[in-house]
Amino acid sequence: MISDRRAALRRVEAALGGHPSVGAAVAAYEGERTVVAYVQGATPVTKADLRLAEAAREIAAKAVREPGETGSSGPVGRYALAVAAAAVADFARRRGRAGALRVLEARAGEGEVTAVLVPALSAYEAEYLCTEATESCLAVLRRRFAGRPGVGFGLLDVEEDVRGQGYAPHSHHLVVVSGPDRCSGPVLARLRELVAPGGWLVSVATSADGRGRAEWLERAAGAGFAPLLSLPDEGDPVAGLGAHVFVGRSPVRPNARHLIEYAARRLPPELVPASIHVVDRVEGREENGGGPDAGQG
Amino acid sequence: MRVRVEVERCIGAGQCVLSAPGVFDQDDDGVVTLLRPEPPAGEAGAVREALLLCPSGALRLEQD
Repeated sequence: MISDRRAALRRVEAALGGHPSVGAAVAAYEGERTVVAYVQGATPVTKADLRLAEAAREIAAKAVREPGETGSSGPVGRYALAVAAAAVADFARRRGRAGALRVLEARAGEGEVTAVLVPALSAYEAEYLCTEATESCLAVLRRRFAGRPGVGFGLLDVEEDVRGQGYAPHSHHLVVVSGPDRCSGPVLARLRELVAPGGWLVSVATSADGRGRAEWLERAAGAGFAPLLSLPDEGDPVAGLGAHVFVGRSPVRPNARHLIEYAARRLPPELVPASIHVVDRVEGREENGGGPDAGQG
Repeated sequence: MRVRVEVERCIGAGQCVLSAPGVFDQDDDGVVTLLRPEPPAGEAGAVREALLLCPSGALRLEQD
């Protein structure tokens, strides 16, 4: 009997997992007969994303060959900034006529990244919010970018809870951050909270701090960002210098009502979940029941 | 039945075009475009499926 019930729950999970908005689903019985489900959003990768990755490789190669286009930075900085600029412009272009693009840059520092991304977005309707953790850091940015159309300034300390600092969850289409080495798991989780469902995190390493990119990719995945772009590729000489640009999509937000209707078309009535809860991460049961590495700890 | 799209939300997954190719299309970037804002009754099932499958919630249906 118990195994029948487990099999039934697996069936519910498989049905929900087949929906394009669902990244993972866990079903459970509430009482004897009521099925409930928990789902986390998927991070779809589209044809346009693949095109961006391809175009970015060309832009990156060109940036290394041809100095000068992105200011005074060395080859590593040029590389990273050129790719990041291409990525944000691509995002803006795709959104087309969908209203103002809201960009937030966390830890903008002295504005090295800002100075490249703001012009990259000049052809689009964009609100670029430049943030730093302290008023004195922000003053540097204010001086540098005062009067630039569409550029705003705000205090934001990513080491602290963002809600307490006056930032609404999911309020920005693009969130930009540099210095990936300084982005711990909790910092990434806060950045994810700021990104709208389906929006992007763009991380830029313009110096040696991109060397820890393997760990970064792991942390970004842990925070729920699916990589759409991660350059340079392994083995590229620039990788050894520390350049790294990462573009990750934040999960979409499944619509519980739609999912119930979707499930009702695919499951017998007794298995259709009475309620579906959308969560950041489903608490899955053990997925790795003992792979080749099992038993070492 | 009237269909509305929120381009703002579209991420270009293309599910709508697979479900109801007579009603939806995608531009070069994959963003949804609406071919028939008021699809015929015969398309209702396909449009409903498109609405259910859209991962980003970019589609809306208004019944007459």
